[in-house]
Amino acid sequence: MAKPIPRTSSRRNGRISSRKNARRIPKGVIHVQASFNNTIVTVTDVRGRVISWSSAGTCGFKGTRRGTPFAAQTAAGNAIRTVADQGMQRAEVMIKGPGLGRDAALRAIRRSGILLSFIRDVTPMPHNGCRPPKKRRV
Amino acid sequence: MAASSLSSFLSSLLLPKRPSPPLVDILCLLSQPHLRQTPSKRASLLATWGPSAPPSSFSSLHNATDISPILFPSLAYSSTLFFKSAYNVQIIVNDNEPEEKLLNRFRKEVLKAGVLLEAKRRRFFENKHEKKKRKAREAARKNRKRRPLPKAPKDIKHLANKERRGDEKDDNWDVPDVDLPYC
Repeated sequence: MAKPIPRTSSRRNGRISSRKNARRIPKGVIHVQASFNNTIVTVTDVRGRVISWSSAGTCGFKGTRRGTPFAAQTAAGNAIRTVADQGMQRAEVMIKGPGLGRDAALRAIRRSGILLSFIRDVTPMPHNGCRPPKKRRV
Repeated sequence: MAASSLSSFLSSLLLPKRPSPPLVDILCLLSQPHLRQTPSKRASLLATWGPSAPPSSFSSLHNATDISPILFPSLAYSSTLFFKSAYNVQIIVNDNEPEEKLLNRFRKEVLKAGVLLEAKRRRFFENKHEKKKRKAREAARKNRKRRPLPKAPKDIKHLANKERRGDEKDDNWDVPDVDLPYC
């Protein structure tokens, strides 16, 4: 039998990056999605590939406590801790959504010692698109 | 390629030195990345041109003038093109900015852009009636802020009151002590 032809690494690029944990990225983007009930903090690289994420729910909060600013603070702290030892120095922050976690997450990011280059608000605004759900009658 | 064509377009327009201050923001934003690459020519052009181009705080580009999409068609989407995603508010962070000051600046910009209000409005559907009420409320608030004129000057009213009271005092309420013919 002939020896198997060694495959080129074009297919393996996606696989390798998920296996190698010590990928050093000096610059990244921190996405904060702050809804009314929860806050999700995702750290990606400049292209948008996710490095790590954390949310108020994964930090141990449950129910209504997930939407509080303190929960957002812990989520942001958690997310950045995993990334700081990967050597990220500069970051951009993209904040999405109305919610109490906006300011608190920003404060936690600022305190963690990462240099911020931009802070952007990317709350999605429809140009009168889909019809939102009906009013709640509580 | 697009950048070079845009730059040639820009330079051709900048040479006759057309002063249009509302376009400074857009051009400065777009040419800021170019400034890092080719500092020679464009920086000098911008320096002669720009009255105020603070790189420290850019606000949102939603208030671009109406003629800018006609004059510089590519710049109409400059905020979307450059950053690969549309944003409502952007703040460029200075070095060593205190945390509270940064947060306040962000909050002010967000308030000015009206992001939170808009998101709250679009959370649930509002019918025509609700919409009309909301618009009336907003208009009332805007009018109250912009034109706090009192309806009539206060001292005239005050005088009128005093005069009225004085008249009552001067009025003679006593019955005259005169013999009436038929009593």
